[in-house]
Amino acid sequence: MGKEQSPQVNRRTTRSSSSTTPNSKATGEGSKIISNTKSLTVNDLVLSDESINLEELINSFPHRRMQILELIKLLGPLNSPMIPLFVYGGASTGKTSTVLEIFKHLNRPFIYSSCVTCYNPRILFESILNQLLLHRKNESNGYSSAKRCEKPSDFVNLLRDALSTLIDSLKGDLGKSNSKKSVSQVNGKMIYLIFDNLEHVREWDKSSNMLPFLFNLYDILKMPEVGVIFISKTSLDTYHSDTGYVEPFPVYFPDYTEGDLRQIFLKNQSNPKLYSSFLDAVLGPFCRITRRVDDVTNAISPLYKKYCEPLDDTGVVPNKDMKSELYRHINPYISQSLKETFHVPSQPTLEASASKDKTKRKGITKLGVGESFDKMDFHMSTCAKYLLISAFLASRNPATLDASLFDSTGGAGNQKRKRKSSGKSMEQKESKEQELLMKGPGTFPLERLLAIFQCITSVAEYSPDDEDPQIDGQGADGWDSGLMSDVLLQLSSLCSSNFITKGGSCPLEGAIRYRSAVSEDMALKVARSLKFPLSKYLYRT
Amino acid sequence: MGLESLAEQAEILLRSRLCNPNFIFSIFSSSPDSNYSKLKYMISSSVTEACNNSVLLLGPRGCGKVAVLELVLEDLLKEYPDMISVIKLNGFLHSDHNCALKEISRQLCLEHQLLFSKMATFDDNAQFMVSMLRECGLAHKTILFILDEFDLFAQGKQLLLYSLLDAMQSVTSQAVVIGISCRLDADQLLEKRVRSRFSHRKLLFLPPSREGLQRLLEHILLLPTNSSFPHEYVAAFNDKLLKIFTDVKFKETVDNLSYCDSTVNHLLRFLFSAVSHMDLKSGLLSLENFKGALSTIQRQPKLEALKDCSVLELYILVCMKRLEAKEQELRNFNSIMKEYKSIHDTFPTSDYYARNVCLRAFEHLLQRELISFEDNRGHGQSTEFRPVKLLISWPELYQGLKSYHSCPLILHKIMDREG
Repeated sequence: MGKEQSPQVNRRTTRSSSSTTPNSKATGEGSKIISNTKSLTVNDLVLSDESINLEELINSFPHRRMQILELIKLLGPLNSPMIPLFVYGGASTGKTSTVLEIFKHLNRPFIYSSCVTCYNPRILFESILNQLLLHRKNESNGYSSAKRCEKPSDFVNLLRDALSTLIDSLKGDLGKSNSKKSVSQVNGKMIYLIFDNLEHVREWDKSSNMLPFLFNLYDILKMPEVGVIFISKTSLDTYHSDTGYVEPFPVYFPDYTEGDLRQIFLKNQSNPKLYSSFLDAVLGPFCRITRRVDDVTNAISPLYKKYCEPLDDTGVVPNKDMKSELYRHINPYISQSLKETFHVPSQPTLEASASKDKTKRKGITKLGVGESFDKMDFHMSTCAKYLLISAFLASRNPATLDASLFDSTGGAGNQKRKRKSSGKSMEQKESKEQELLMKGPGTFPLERLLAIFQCITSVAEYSPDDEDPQIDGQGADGWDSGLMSDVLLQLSSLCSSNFITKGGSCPLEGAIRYRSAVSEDMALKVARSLKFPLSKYLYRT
Repeated sequence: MGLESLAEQAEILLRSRLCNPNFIFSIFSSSPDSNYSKLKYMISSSVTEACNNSVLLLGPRGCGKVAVLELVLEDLLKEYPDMISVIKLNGFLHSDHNCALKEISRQLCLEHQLLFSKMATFDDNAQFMVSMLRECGLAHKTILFILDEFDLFAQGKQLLLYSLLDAMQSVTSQAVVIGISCRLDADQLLEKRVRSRFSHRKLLFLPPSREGLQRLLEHILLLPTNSSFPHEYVAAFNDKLLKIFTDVKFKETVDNLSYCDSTVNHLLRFLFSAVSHMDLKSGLLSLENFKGALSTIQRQPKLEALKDCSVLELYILVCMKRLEAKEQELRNFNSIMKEYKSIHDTFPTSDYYARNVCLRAFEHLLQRELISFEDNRGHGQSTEFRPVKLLISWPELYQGLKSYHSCPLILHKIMDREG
């Protein structure tokens, strides 16, 4: 009987499933799953069972020796109190990983919470309390937290209780286990609270006191057995507060220099000499743009594959001639890659370039970008496309020109009757147009959008449409009314997908104004898919 | 005991002293006209004479207001063991009226061994507080309400303040309200009806003078002679420390420290850094510890951020500076790109990068907070169109470029030209 029933996927018990009689197999599996996850102990507050010594720690973080030693000195000997620390530095400089590895080395218990995953005060409080109370969310308690906590006042009371029980248990363990020698025992009777990504707290609620509360947490608690560490991407002077707060002690993680990056990349390479000659060629230009480790890694890893292409054996040590030959080979790709932003390509680059040779595509294939340039890569209904183009035109052209561009027959305004203006006024007009372009898309009210939309769609009717038989099948009127009926619906869906944004409203009129958020390339793509002559309608002098 | 473990013990002792404000400020309690004695006199007189009172403790952060209050309370609780009960509230946590009443009831219950129910409503708590006040007054027990961050209680409708001060007006109650704030105008924030019930007593806490600073240093750092440490070690430690204190360079360091911030908290952080870097082999503090601590605590974050920038980001900053100098109104990413192109046209270099790469560098600068958007929500416009402003000043940018190790000469030329 057991074999016939297919292996049950462990689903959360919903109300309906728990009301029906569960079959014995499911409950058997369920209880087995529960018993597998044992309850948490204090040992789980330490990072892992194995510890690393100081030399290993420093070697695993090249060029962070000074910061590691500084942090260890500030954390101090076992069971010594600590003022709050503030670790700051640019992105991907190793702050979080260094701090966590230091705690692994020192084997001291800590509570870690990141203000990115805990995105409002309640989740932050509950996460910290769950870890302190050694509570794990699982099926038996319905994935709920140990205590419900929304307000800072409740949090401080619960935190105090949880911390004192935990510290007492640590003291008790320390007293008991002096005879036993267990490797995974935690060190000391202090608990450290680590708040990561603190810069996000600034945006939570501008009027709340969350930031001063966190900075003053150590003073409010008044427990010398607790240490507080903040990690942030920006320095302390970017945290503004009306009445100030108790300042924590700053520790700075500078960005890596070019030489540091070189050493970091050379770690764990199978062929260091080859890679080093590769870095000679490549690292300099990229470091002028950015020195962030993640950006540079993403940029140079596809280049390394290209670099090794002419080599038959990647284990070879290059001599001088080989180096110059490889450099000549890679040089054009470097300059091409410098024009890219450092993104990870979604398709493998080698296949894209291979397919380029086979099929002659019109689009430009760059290293890492496999899509063609002139086609839209997602589907939109015809009405939505026209609406998008109308929005683009409404944002792009000043309102005063509508009358001349879109006359009642729907045709593009006659631009042949332009008088030849003098050179100076042409320059002025050009600079004005550039100014308008640079300022960004303008806002327009709903009526203008609908007016332009009507003009454009009436043009589309009269233009010959051979390839699409559906359009002149039903007759122009039917198609036209079909378009108009759901235009407001399409408008709201375009707004929610951020193609059109709701701009600020004029204080006198009070009506909502819209703004188009698509770039010119996108609008051209859309227009091309409709065979709509967009360039005729754009405001150009 | 080996010297290293001795040194470690000494370090632990000093660190625990530095993290304990009560110890730090106990030195200021000795003189007769200090805030400590005034506060003690005031509270003890209201306890013994069974009258109501209110006082504000004002002063910048880190000057010992809470610490002195705690010392006073410690002494008073020893002198009058059963006549005082203390309720502590904090403006960060309890500025909401409901939270405050709940916390007051909870602390009252804790003190008098009553059961506190979390389900109690707001009315229950309010009634409980009033009846407790009456009962304590009849039993000649004074309740001390300590309101930390008093200015946060004075926001909004000031309901808690009004109800507390109003309850104090009745004959049967005996309460003292002590407000602590870092805003020197905290009493101006009170409403008219609240202010009329408030006795305008204020105690001002100021950062210590030079002599006070010297006494404070000796109080904190000298090891006690009658402790568990061996005599020779203590003597050697204290001698070296006293020699350092008389050194002119040390005096300069401490002066430098107190130029920007002379509060005690700042000094404590400086000492903490110095003590943490104590050389464990010799077991003694040295002048280098103090000098090193000064450089770690006085940071220049904007210059550090400039040093972290890449060459492209420096170009963008210099372009922004030029736009500012030209007094162009429209300063957004597009206008910066135009300026960048014009620089490249006049001085052609290899540093001309594509637009999307520059946009990415622009976003990095926004993350580093060297530039920021001028408007807050941006009306939903994309990054390229929103106006930005520089967050560093002209001399800082100049200094940053000068100390940048591989700054392109063009940028130097442009900066010199701008003057």
